[in-house]
Amino acid sequence: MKNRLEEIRKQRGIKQDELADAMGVSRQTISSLENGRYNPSVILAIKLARFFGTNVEDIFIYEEEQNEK
Amino acid sequence: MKSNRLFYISIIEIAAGVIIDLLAFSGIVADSDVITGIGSGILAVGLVQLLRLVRIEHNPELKKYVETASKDERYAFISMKAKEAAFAVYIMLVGVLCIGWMLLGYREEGMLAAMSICLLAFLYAVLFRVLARKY
Repeated sequence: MKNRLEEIRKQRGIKQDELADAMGVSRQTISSLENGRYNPSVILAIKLARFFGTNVEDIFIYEEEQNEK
Repeated sequence: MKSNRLFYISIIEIAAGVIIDLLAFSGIVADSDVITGIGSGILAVGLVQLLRLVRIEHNPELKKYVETASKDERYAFISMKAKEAAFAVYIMLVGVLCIGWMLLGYREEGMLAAMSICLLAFLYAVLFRVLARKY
């Protein structure tokens, strides 16, 4: 699953630390999410979407073909 | 809340370690060397945990880090993955040991290893059914 988290975060001028604090997770979790190494839980995805005032689908892009392999 | 619970557990561990060591030193219990080892082990675990808690309590940055880590979903995910891998590795290692011991003629050790695998497989099956009902 791809995501635009880093792009959206940088657009808003928010640091990883600040986003991590707001989400109640570690900075490493935000870093892993941005690098695509870790997929968030539904709860964290919704929290991120609400934080940025957008939809989950605007941040996380589900690629069916890649996941079906 | 969690650190309070850990604090009480460490105190209980220290007290238990001291009592076991005293019993061993007084010669009331048989095989005092083994009992002393167990007592000292429990005492050391309790002391290390208590020192860790005191260190966390006196360091706000470390306290924040530990609190975040305890709630962090990625850490929980990694912990679950590590347990999953440890389970698989353990089964394989004990399986190899079991066969090895049996081939070398250590029948009792081999049987113990085989029973350990059976117990784990049984626990897995039971817990799977329990959790399948829950979720």
